[in-house]
Order: sequence, then structure tokens, then C-alpha cells
Amino acid sequence: MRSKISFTLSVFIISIVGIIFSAVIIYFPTPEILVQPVVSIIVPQQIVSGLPVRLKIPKIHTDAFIEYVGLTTLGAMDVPKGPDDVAWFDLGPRPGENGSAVIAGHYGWKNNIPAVFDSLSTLRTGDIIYVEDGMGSTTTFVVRKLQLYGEKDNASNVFSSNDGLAHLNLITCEGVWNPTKKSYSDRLVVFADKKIK
Amino acid sequence: MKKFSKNSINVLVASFALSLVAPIAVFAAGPAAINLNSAANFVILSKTAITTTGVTAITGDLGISPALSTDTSGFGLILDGSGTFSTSALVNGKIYAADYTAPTPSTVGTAVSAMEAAYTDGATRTPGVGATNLNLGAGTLSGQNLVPGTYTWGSNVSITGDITLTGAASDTWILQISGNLSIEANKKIILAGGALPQNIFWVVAGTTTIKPGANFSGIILAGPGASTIAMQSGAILNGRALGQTDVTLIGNTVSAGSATIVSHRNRTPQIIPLIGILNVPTPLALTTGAGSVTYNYTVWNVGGQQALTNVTVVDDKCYPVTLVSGDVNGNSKLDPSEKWNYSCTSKLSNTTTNTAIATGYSDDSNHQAALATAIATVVVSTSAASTPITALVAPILNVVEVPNILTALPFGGSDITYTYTVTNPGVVAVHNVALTDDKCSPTTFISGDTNGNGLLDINEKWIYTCKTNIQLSTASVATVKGDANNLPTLAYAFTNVLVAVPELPNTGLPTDGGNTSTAIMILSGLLIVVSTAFVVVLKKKKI
Repeated sequence: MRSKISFTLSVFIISIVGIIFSAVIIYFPTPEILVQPVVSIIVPQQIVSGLPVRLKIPKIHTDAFIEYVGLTTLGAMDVPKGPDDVAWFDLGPRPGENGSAVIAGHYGWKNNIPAVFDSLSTLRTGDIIYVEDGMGSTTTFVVRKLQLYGEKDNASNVFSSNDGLAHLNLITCEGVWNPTKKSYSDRLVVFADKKIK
Repeated sequence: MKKFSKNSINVLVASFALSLVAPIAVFAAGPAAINLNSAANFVILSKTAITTTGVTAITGDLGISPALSTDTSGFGLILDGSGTFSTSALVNGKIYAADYTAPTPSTVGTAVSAMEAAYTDGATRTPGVGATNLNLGAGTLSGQNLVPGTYTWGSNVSITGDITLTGAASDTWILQISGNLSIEANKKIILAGGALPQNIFWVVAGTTTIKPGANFSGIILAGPGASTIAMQSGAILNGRALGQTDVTLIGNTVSAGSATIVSHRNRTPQIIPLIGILNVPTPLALTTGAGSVTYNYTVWNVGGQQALTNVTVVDDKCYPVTLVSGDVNGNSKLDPSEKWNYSCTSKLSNTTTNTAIATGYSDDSNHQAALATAIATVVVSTSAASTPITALVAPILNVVEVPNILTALPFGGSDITYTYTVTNPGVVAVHNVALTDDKCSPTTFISGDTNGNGLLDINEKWIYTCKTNIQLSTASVATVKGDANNLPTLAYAFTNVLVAVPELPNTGLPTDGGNTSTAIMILSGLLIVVSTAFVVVLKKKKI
């Protein structure tokens, strides 16, 4: 009898584990990776030395994992999959390399879940941004300016620079949410420059 | 007691199994995806021919086997030094053919076999049944919303209006068509709810025709019969064209799609327009002092990809410049086949150098400007009338500069080769011809000095090239200089190379975010099932 009870109990525990497992699958930020491992087209590059892995902005308590994205077929920079991560535009330079490295993060999420760049607009000139790479070394950037763009504005000075210096530009949304277009009216860009040691 | 425990264990095990299966059922509706194996490495595959006309923009690799690289056309293939693949200005990727160096014949052959197997897999899947999945719309589709599943037609299928495929990112559609497939001009396949082109399989036994301006999504698997895939002018394919016979393209955009597509809007590649102008004064010299000179200008469309609009010619020493002839079809646009003739007459009393400037704009929403200049000198002399005019006149040069890619380069840019054509519209051979480019060096003389005398004679066309790497949009100026009769001359050519700039990301609410409320409902349901089972077990234990 005793062994039967403990057996029943263990089955119960197994089913609870099953539910937890299913919860993990449901809430996993990229369910298709677990469910159907062959569908992903934009395959993140292997993390090797020098590639960015974490973005830290002490002022707004940001400490986010960095995904890698390219372009959508419509020609826009792609976005991170969930509200917590940020995404580095991997067709451009790495943070710390000469040129303009670009990192995007979400602003606002459904059901009022906080998103990583909700407070990006509170950054000011002189604020510090850190990017950690796969080897554990950290590059420091200093905010130079904040600028608002329309969603379709020419963004050549966000993605390109030719002054021979290293820049990091952070992008998120701002303005009014348009439920039909599923887009905010504006984009906020924080321009930062690599801190010279 | 034993019996009851067994039952409760069954319930528990079932609920455990359900808890594992439920999320999978939530995230993957529709049939199992067709495995493309190595065919998935190509956006276009053909066993017989791949042809293009116009400016096609393909992102991804092309493969052809057992037909050869010579069975492609319109791509301007540039064979890599390794001999294993070619590149093309129209393809952001590589082209592999059965006649290239190993291992390419094997690689592309394997991909073709995988494509054939994928077609067979798709064609032999259990056909759709019922009014929605068998012969939907009697083969004429317009306005339907297709949920994930297998759809079968025993006829031709014609998409005459926009249709929508709604489903999640891992949902699949297999569309079996025993006849031909066509989508009418400017119609769209709209993907909603996170549906992805790589999970949509059009298994077509007959031909596939994507008419001008249509926007098609999914992987086209064409059968072994008469099953050409024809993309007509300006059509867009978000997916793959895997054809067992010919694939033909006319100024199309083809790419394998991305994970964030929701719906599509047409995006035509940005064109780089180029214009040319010749300026020939009559006469080239006034030998008896002041007199009247007529400047004759010829303006043409150097890029030739599309018409130029708002074409104007101005001259710094002569007014007004009037259009004499050349707009053959009267559409006020400088078409690629047209040469527009302008003229202007002026009285000159001194030797005069004039500059004529032609401008035009691309015939699209970008209104990209094109500019050309032509410089000529008319000598006014009172020297003895017996001096032959060819001993008096100033030389004239003309140069046209054309980059090898006439659409915007993808972000990051690429290598560009400029080709310069230098001509002599005057009446005397030009000495000491030298060409420079402010954004590219060295410029290399290729050919054109047909008589080998080192002079640019009036019927010669001297060709130069220069190769450089362009990362940002670049305006370059080519300058050619020369002289004759102790008079210098020069000409300029102005060219833009455009590099695409990404649009800013849509970092608001993502369209494929997890559906939290559904997930909570499922979890709650499961918890109730398990709790009930547990209560049953406890009750039975008490008995």
C-alpha cells in the first residue's frame, strides 16, 4: 500500500514536471527552435571572440542579451524576438569597430510587459553604455545626442559614418502606436561614441 | 483498490502526455513540412535553363544542373578564380552550374535530386478533402483566407485577387495543383499572423506564371513535365523557385524570405539613372571674325533602364536652348531608344568656350537625378582665310561613365567596376588623352586606338575601366583631358553609385509575439485536469 501511494505521488510529480516543461515551451522566446528546428532562416552567428553578447546601460538599469539580426525582406533592420533582448545589426560593424554599430530594442509590449528600451529616452549626453563581447572584454560608449526620426525617414547617418571613429547607435520606438500599421509613429535614436581611453 | 489506482495512474499519465503535446499542437498546425534537404541552399534551381531580362534582384544562390552555365542568360556571369561558382551583378549570392569545377557538379546535382524528391513528397501527400481543401473556388482564388493544411486542386489554379494565408510561424501549407498555377498582375499572397514563406509549398505539376507586379510567397516546387516557372515584369517572389525545367525572370525580386514578414508591399530596386550629352558647334571656327554659331546638342539615356523625366538642357553662353526633335512617342520622357536633339544659336565675337548641362530624373518615386555636361570651344579668328579650318579649330572630347551595377547596392556596398567611353565629336584628332576619376584609380586603358597612332581619332571609341570598393553612396566625377592645335580641351562624366540604407526597425509590439492569454488558458486547463486526477487518487486511497 505504501509503495502504491508513493508511486501515485511520483506520477503526480511527473505530471507537474510535464506542465512546467510545457510552460517553458510556451514562454520560451523562440518556440520554433524547440518545436521545429529547421525553419529558422536568419541563423544567429556562432558566438566567437569579439562578437557582442551583452548591452549594459546603468542609468536605465539595462542588462540585456544581444541577439543578431539582419534585414527584413522589406529592407528594414530586423528586431529582437522578445521584449527582454536587444538586437545587433550584424551587417554593419561590431560595437567598437570603426563605423556605426547599431543595436535595437523594443519599446512597449503587449499586456504591459516591460520592454528593454522603455526608458531609453531618459538617457542624456554623457551617459555611459557598455557592450560586452564573447571574450569578456567591455567597450565603453558615451551618449552624444538623442534624435527622433519618422519611421520611414532616411536613416543613412544612423547606419553609416565615415569619420574613422567607432560609434554605437541605439534604436527604439517612440510616439503614437498605430494599431493598423502595428507600428509606432517615430523612432528614437541614441547616438553614442566609443570612449577613448 | 488496485483497479482504481490503475485508472488514476492512466489519467495522470494521459494528462502528462497531454501537457507535453499541447504546446506543440498550439505552435504547429498543418501538415509536416516538406524537407527540401540541400535544395534549401538555393533560391532558384533548374534542370534546364535560368534566364533573366531587365534588372532582376536575387538574394540567395542559383543552381543549374544537368544543364550548364551556358544555359543561363542575362546574368553576365563572372566566373570566380576557383572555377567553382560565378557571381552576377543581379545576384546577391552565387551561381553554381554543372560545368563548374568540382565539387560544384556534385553539390548542385544533389540539390536537384533533393528538389525532385521534395516535389514527389509534396505531390503524394494525402490530398485535401471537403469544400475548403479540395478544389477550393473551382480553381479561381480571390479573397480567400487559407488556414494551415493541405489543399488540392485537380485543375488549373488562377489567383485573380489577393489571398491571405493566416497561421503561426511554424504552421505549414501544402498546395497541390495538378494543372497550371497563375497569379494575376499586381495581386498578392498576404501572409498574416506570422506565417512564413518557407513553410508554404506550392506543388505544381504544370506551369507557374507570376504576372507583372504580382507579389508571390512560398516555395514553388515544379513537376517533371512542362512546368516552367515564369516571373513576368517586376513580379516579386518571397520564397524559392525550384523548377525541373526552365525558370525565366524579367526584372524581378527574388529572396528566400525572412522571419518577420507579415504582409508585403512592392519594393522595386532603386535605379541609377545616367544621361549623356554631346555638344557640337557649327561652325567650329569663325575664320573671318565675329559671326553666328549654332550649337547642336544630342542628349541620350545612357543607363537605359527606364525613361528619364523632366529632361532639361541649359547652356552658360547661349539662350534659349530648344528641343528640335527626338521625342518619338511624344511622352515627354527620354526613353532608352531615343536621342533628343536640341539647338541654340549665338553671336560670337571672341573665342568662346561654352558648357551645356543636361539633367534628367529617374521615372520612379525616387526621382534620382542624372547630370551630364558637354564643353566646346569655338575659335574666332581673323587670320588669313586660306588657313585650313582643321588647323584652327579646338578639339572636343566626350566621356560617359557607367558603373557595372545600375541599381542600389545592398547595405555595405560591394566592388564596382566603372567603364568609361571616351569619344571625339570634333573634327581633329586629340593628342595626350588622359582620363582620371576622383573616386577610383588607376583608370586603365582597355581598347579603342584602332590605328595605334596614340591619338583619339574622330571615329574612335576609347574604353577605360576602373575597379573600386564602394561602401557608401558615392558620386564620382571622371575627367578626360587632351589637346589639339595647341588648344586644350576636357570633358566630365558624373555618376552616382547608390548603396541601400536600411529602414529603421519596427521596435514596437512585434507581430509574432507569444499569445499569452491562450497559453494561460491551456495551462489552467491542464492544471484542473491534473488536480482532479489527484483528488480522485487521494479519495481512492482513503477507501
